[in-house]
Amino acid sequence: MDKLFSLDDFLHHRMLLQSSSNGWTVLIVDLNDIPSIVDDLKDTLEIFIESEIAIISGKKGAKDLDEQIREASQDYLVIFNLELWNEQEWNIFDGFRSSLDQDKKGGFLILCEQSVYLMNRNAPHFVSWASRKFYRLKKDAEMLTQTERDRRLNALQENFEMSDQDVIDLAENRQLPADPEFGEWLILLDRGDLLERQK
Amino acid sequence: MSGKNETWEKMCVEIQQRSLDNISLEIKSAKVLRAEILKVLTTASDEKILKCKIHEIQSLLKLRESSVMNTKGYSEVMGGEKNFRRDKNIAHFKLHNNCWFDFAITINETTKPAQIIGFDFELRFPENLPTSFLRIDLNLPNHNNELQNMRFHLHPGNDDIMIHSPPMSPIQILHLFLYGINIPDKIRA
Repeated sequence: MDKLFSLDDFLHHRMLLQSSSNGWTVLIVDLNDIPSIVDDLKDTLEIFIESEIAIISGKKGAKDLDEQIREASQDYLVIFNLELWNEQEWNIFDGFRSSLDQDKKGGFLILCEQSVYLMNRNAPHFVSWASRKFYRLKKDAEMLTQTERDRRLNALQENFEMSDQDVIDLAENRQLPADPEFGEWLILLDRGDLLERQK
Repeated sequence: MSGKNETWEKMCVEIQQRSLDNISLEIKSAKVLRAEILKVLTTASDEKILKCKIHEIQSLLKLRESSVMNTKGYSEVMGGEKNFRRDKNIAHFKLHNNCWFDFAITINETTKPAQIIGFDFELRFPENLPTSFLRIDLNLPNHNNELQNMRFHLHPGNDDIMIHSPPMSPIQILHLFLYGINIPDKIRA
């Protein structure tokens, strides 16, 4: 349960396992990150599994979730919005574990730490069934780090013999060279807005 | 010496327009484009075409989105480090045929759908080949007409020489690099 994985790891993993059935994975994430992670999965998962996915909210409780799962025609489900569930909801969820284990190819449950705690105590059958597929998500692993950004800026400055301010001045005066590297340069400086002025 | 010729300049406008008419630079988002590229590269790695492990691909393929509220909406997808000196010690993607490459793509996400507005892809050849590299660029939109009429261009082994290139999307260029370049055993004199 302490494994730390990036979204890229899951995407590649799903591509390798797309032919297998009933693969359920529990992603443990920070409560505040849940909406953006659901959005990212929605946008990128279909590229890797090459089949339709359904995003299903558990906001209306476990019984409603069960109905939505039964009605979903998609091969792959992403279930979220389970943060307000109490012990009773998790008990009901445990009762319909078998409906997760049928025709569907599989899916993700997106949970925060508190929900995992409640699930562990109140949905033992599901936990036992999916126990080896609990992962902590390393968010934003694909984003450029500060060190990587600085290295790219140094390379640009050295190659073009210009400072960051020189490039901003050129862009502000609509004199930015059209070479693609100058677009990257402005974005690294958080001044992508100046690209609007070059048209 | 570069000759200026009115007919050629008109031709450049036509060639450029033909390129723009025949390719869509629209994408869903920078994140989705990155995921599509990740899939192409991981597939090539599984096929042993790309000599990079999955974790290496993940660490080479990066995304930059503006974090500043007022300047949000422009993003960069980057594959490999910036490498103007063509130094093999700088992180890059390696191919089975000893070619190697890196790239960067600039995306405008202030419009719906998002749009690719610039890119540079450079493939470097093995040292025993007479040509050392091939770069395929899409220049940024620009008010300068002369530059505007050669947005899609390539540099055939020389930074100072540029000629029109066929209109290709980033995914098509990656496929060209991965599957379309055959290095012969015997190099022609």
